[in-house]
Amino acid sequence: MALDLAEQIKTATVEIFSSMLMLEVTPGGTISSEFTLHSSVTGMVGLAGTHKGMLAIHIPDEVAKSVTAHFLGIDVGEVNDDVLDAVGELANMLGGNVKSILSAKGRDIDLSLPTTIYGEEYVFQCSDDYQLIIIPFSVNGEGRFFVEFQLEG
Amino acid sequence: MKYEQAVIGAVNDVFTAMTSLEVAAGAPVRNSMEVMPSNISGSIGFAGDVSGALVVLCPVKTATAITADLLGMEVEDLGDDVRDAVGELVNMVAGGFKSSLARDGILLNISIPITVIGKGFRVSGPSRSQRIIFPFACEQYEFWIDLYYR
Repeated sequence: MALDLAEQIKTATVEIFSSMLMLEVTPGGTISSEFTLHSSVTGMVGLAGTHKGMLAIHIPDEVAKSVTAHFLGIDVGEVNDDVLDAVGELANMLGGNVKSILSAKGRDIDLSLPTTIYGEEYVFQCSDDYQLIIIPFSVNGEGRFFVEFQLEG
Repeated sequence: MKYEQAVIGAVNDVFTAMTSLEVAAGAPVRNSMEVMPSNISGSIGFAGDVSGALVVLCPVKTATAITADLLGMEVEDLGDDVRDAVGELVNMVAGGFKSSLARDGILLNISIPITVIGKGFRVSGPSRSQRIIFPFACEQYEFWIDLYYR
């Protein structure tokens, strides 16, 4: 189930970046342990209901600015509220997809509001109680980002 | 006021039940732009009649003091023990928050707690959401709870 879920999250991420941002992204092999993020923005959203979990997207500052510029069609000079909101919204869209993967039409799962983390150096922890999937993606010549999913049970 | 009462009541209940520490709530502040100095955060999302997120923010000393009290042992570093303690703390506070709102007829479900440890990071909610900051003093240490909802 975990492998299949990882494949579906890869497909959903590629589709969202292609349709919403006109960006081509390529998934890499799944990672299964936490790691330190440097100068990055994380957007995360909780899933609550029949399945409990959390979907996050970790994007280095430079890539986050470029992704936000694509998203909003504006120039982005620094990591500001626009960037934080855009990354939060990406987490929200990915969470919406995962919700539909886990529950038929997503009926039995609700998404929380997205929150964002922005910082120089931080580790996103995963408790031993949860399944963890981390997928790296490369963005057409502009670096990498990660999609992380933690699921209870 | 029901959100304020729900959060403060839940924090008091959790600290009374789980720790031997005195906790005192300061005055909640609505819609401030303030950024809290934290090295560790525990956050949990909620969804239902109201959706949002509840985030506990601690400096290192607060996190290690609470973990030491919970586990009954000395804790020096931000390791797995602190991660699990802060995660469990926010999980229990969110559970109390949920129960309290349910008594007012507001139903919601909570997601899983996520702990972040680091240097110089900040946690924010979406621009278009309500925010309430709750300052707490735990003995000589301080921590904050940030509530975002819409």
